[in-house]
Amino acid sequence: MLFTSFNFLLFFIIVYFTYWNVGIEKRKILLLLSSNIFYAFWDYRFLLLLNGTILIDFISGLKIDQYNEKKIKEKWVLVSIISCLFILFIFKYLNFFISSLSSFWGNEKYYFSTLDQIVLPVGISFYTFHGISYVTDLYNRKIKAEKYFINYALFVSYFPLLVAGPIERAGNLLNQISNKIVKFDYDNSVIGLRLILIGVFKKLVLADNFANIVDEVYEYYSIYSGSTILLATFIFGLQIYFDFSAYSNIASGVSKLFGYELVINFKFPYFAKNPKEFWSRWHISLSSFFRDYVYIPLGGDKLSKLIFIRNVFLVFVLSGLWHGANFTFLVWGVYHALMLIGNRYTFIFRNIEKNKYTFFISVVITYFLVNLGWIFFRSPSISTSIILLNKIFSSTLFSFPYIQNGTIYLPILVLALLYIGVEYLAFSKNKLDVHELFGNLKNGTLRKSFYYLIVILILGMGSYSENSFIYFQF
Amino acid sequence: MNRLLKNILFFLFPLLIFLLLLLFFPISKNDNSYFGCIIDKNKLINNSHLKQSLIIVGGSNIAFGLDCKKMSLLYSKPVINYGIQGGLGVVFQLEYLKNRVNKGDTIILIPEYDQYLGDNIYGSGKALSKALILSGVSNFSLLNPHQFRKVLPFLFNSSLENVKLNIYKDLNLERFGFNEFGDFIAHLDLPNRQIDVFDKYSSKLAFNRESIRKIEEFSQYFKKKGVGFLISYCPYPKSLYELHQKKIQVISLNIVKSNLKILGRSQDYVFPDSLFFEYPLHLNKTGREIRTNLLIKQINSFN
Repeated sequence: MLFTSFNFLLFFIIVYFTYWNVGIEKRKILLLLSSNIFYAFWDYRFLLLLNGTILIDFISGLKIDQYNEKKIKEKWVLVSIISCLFILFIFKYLNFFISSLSSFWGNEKYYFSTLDQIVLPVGISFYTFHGISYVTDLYNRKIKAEKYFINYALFVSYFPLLVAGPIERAGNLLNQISNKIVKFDYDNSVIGLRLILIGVFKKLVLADNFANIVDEVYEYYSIYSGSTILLATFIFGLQIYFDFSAYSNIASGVSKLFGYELVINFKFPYFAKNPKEFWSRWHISLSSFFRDYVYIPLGGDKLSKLIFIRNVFLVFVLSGLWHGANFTFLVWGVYHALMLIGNRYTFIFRNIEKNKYTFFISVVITYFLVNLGWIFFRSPSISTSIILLNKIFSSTLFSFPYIQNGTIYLPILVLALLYIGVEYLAFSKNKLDVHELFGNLKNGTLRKSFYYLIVILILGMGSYSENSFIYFQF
Repeated sequence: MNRLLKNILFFLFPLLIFLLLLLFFPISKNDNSYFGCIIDKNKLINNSHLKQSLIIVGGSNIAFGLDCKKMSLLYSKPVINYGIQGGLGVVFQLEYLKNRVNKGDTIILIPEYDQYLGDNIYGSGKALSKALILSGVSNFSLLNPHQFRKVLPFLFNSSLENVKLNIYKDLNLERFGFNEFGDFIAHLDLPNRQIDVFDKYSSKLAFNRESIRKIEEFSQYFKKKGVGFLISYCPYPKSLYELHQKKIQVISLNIVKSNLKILGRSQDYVFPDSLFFEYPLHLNKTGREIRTNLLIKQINSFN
């Protein structure tokens, strides 16, 4: 059930009106039930896995809170984290691990064809991380254990963020679920609807139309020139940003309509001046997860240069593998680790970003480097990435890019550039998101006209081929 | 809550009115794109009453690859090339024909293999919405709920396109490439264009038995009406056939097992790659001639 589908619209309308018409005490139960129904639409077989994980983490949480002895606490933290990582490993990495091992040894005796049939449960990387952050925060005494199962279960399985995040922390969402008395708030609801509108626009008009170009070029790269592949790579950079930030917008908007606030996941990442800043603006809930639960506990940059380098590599290799069980994601992670280390120890970004006149150049360099990294992310294999890079850095780079039927996407490219212009406006005014610009428009007619324009663009230029959000696969 | 609902309704109401106005905007006769041929082909169907017509139904494999003019002269009766585009789905075309064919007419259905996969037989939302706008919104009644859901997201876009065509002259010329029998002939004297990557034409969808069942349903309906109903196979390039052999065999096996009357075998329509113009289903002049002769031979031997 995609956020941009009729099924979801129907589901949402039913849940929304029921939610605001039942007593306060029943609302959480309704949301929990709806979240399970929402998940069942993806694959009902994995409901048991989802709720089993929730139960283990909930019990572990209670035990961590109950005992004062460090060893017992540690035991329960381990029970919870190992169970989360175990199911993640079985469903997401086992196949990759065994097939890599068998190809490394050059024989197939380690490989079992039945492993091919292991289906990746949607959202598994997100909900297992909720559990891990919960027990770790409990152990570090950042939060108190949740006493009510319904509250905890809703925190993990809350449907707006269940399949593609953002990765929430108990300190934010669970705290709201446990303590907030949710009341209908008109202004907040309007902001929610605005976020949904912008999200749907970014997904259907920009991301899904760009997907057609990127899929074509990346699938049939043999017939395309280096310049076309480079163009498609830049377009993929836009596609993945619009796609994932759209999901975050819609998730946030839907959640606002139910009275809960989600964390911000994107803050104009393509205006980052250097790779480090990029990661403080892109998929913030994931990068802050790795920062707080891996990088800082391992010493961060406080101990020595070597340990810093080790920590950065570890974080980005894990981050790469989190995105998928494929060497391409691993290389993508290593590429970003190298960029971050270069960011700290080379002159390029340190000097360039200090001069206000060179701000533009540093943004362009960061943008270019980040986009080159998407080649590994988007390619099906390392060998394909190498072929693509070879093609890009060949004489065909100087030919005019040509994509079959590509001209029909020119208006979409213009719209995307216009949208980025609006983003820049919001960025320069220190807004958190584009929707705040609309909120600041005092003239109601003008504001409404913008809404109508967006709706008409969605209806007129949207791509309706049921493309799922890219981050669902992670 | 009431305030929010009221504001949403006030916002949506003018939008709805606008959409309805667009939807019922007069059909533009200006659409000169390839798809515009549907206007002329529907006219051919509507004007063919009581003439014992032979109507050949399917996607572009028929438009590009059959000489209905030759067949018409040979059989001395109207032969209509009702091949439009595979994306339209033959269900919509056959529904359209239901009330427009008469006793003594014959339908030969030649869907592309893709139409037997997934729910392709019901068409894509994009093609269906375009067809609906071009053939008249009244044809909404031809859609089943599944098709209706597919069409809905594309309606605004197609309606807007229609309004644009009412205002501006369409610079496309493809529609003029058809003759009076519905055959596309503009490509006949052109050299072949290279078919870039054959693998591009591999669908990930699986064969759907429902597609044959649906065709059987139509066959029964037409039989009751005294209309002949036959099915045959689309032309396929040899190299692509080798790639998709398994899938095609499953499809043809299911066709053979059905209650449908069949013309020829799938292998009969596997032609050398050099007989295709620019796309795996679009025959060039020579290919079209060979295919037409083969179909004529099979029709004759069937009779």
